[in-house]
Amino acid sequence: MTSEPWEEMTRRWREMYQEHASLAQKNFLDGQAQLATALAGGAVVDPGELWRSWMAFGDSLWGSPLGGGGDAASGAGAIGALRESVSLSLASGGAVSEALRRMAEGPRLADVGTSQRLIAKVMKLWLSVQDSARTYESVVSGAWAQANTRFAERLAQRYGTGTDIPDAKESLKLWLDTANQVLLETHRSEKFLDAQRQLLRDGMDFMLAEREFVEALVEPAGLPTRTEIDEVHRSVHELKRRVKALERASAATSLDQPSVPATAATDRRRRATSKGQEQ
Amino acid sequence: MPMSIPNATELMREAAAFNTKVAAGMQRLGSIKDGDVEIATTPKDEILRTDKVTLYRYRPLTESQIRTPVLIAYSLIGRHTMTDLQEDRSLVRNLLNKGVDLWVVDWGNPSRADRWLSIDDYVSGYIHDCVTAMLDATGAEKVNLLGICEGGVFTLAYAALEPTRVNSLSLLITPLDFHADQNDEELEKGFINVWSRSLTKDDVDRMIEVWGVMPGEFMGSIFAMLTPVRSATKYNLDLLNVVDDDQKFLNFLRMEKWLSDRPHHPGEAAKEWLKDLYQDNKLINNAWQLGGRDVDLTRVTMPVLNIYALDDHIIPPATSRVLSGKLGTNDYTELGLPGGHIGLFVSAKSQDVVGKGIVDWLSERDA
Repeated sequence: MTSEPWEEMTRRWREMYQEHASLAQKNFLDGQAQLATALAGGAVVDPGELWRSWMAFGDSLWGSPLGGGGDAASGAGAIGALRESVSLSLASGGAVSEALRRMAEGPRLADVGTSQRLIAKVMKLWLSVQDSARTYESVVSGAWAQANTRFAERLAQRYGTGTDIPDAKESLKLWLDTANQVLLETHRSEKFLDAQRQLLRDGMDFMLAEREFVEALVEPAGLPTRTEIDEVHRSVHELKRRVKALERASAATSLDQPSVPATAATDRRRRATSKGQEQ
Repeated sequence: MPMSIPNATELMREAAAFNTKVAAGMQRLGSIKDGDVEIATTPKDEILRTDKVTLYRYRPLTESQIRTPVLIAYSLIGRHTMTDLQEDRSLVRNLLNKGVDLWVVDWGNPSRADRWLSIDDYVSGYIHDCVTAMLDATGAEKVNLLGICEGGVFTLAYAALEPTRVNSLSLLITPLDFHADQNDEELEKGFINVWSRSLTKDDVDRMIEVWGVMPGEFMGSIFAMLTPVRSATKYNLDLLNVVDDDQKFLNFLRMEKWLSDRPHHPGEAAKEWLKDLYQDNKLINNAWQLGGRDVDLTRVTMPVLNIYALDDHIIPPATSRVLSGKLGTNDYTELGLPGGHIGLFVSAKSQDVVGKGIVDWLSERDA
């Protein structure tokens, strides 16, 4: 990394984008050539290759100049590189995570690079999910290994004494009981609960960042966002509450004053009651 | 010591028998359609529908013995159909056969659109509406409430907030002191309590912010961790054990049908359930508020029956048997029955016990 993280970030994104787009186009064009040959009754086409070329084409629609360009589109194109970045991260011992972290935490300019910054954030959080998933899985697989060890110890004890050699059915029961006990102990351990909680947290953070990114894409197009719909639901809920409170107050008043016309609430109750009687 | 050498003929015979059983089971499984596995078939009529909530009244199966109507309120986690799983394993039928005027509230299928529903909306809103409809329809002055699990907490809160409308309160497998699991050293019991306390309030908020609800599938995965090996062997060993017995096989499938019908829990209500109750244990400490009103247990002045399951691993008995001396009534009965959280309703041996226990208790307190 240079001392100019913003410059570094834009350079890296540009490289990733160009590399991805040219590869996608090459795959697509190769696939099309195969398809044309196949349709013309020529050489036998490999369906796998054809499928891969179409997949690459799908990705290229997001990121390549064929897809129309623009900040949002090029930003979305980087999503296609996400899987590759994950495997790169696994191989490089966190160097990519570190680079992404710096990108995500680089200086913010008011109108520049919003989508790139959000993508970097999403990718960084996705890598965190991968990390915490591996930790969680290691705790769980450790429990199964411990169950195996404990089962072997118990069998060895029985063979050692020579008095109680289990048959297949009994051995299965012993194994299941042993595994159950070890898993229950594990589920209550701090190590397991910590790993599970971290996985949950990272998962939630990732999904929130993903939403933020998607909303940044769709909002300029005038499409409703999850956040807006939640707000609408909240407003409807509050209104329903108020209506019900008014209905109740009105019903109570009408009970006190029999001459007052029936309220919506009592009407509804009457309708409901007669409905039940009819059925 | 040398290991014994398996008898080859015996091994082959066992393998052949096993394969035959698997083949027959696959054939049977393939022949069953969804419509063949019916649950909750006891006839009932819709009386009230408000939002996604429906109030039903069961049709009587015999002459009325208990005048005051009884409302069943089940948990939001799971569905009330558990109380009427099949004809010969049905709390609903057992109560109807003993002359109870029985009603049930179905919470419906909450979605993300219902994110903002709070526990107060259920207690002071829907339960209140149901009780009003019951009073209007029957002319009774009060109702009997029968709350199950989370529904027990809802009905207890309602009884505390509206004691003049409640003749009696029956609680079944209801968590009341959410921290009392710590007094129970059995590993099989109380994992949900441990798990809930392992989260921070911010964790809970974030889950609801992301999902809007507590997804039914998510709760299902937490429940699976309560019995880890059982969950892993259910569709192989357990299924094989019953596949050649038609009655047991259909029982198994009915239970599966109920389990797969796990509704989402509305978001705000889930936050309150986990934070106010599982984490802060406000109910038993008389510190819980709904809609700005105190849920004061000393205002529960009607008779209370509290039934818990001795082998309940979801709601440990220690968390249920805690109301003695906390209520505003001296007519308090605690009854621990053999069985688990679900077994209390569906096991063959509990059929005569639970319904009879409730009806005997109710008949002595009928208005």
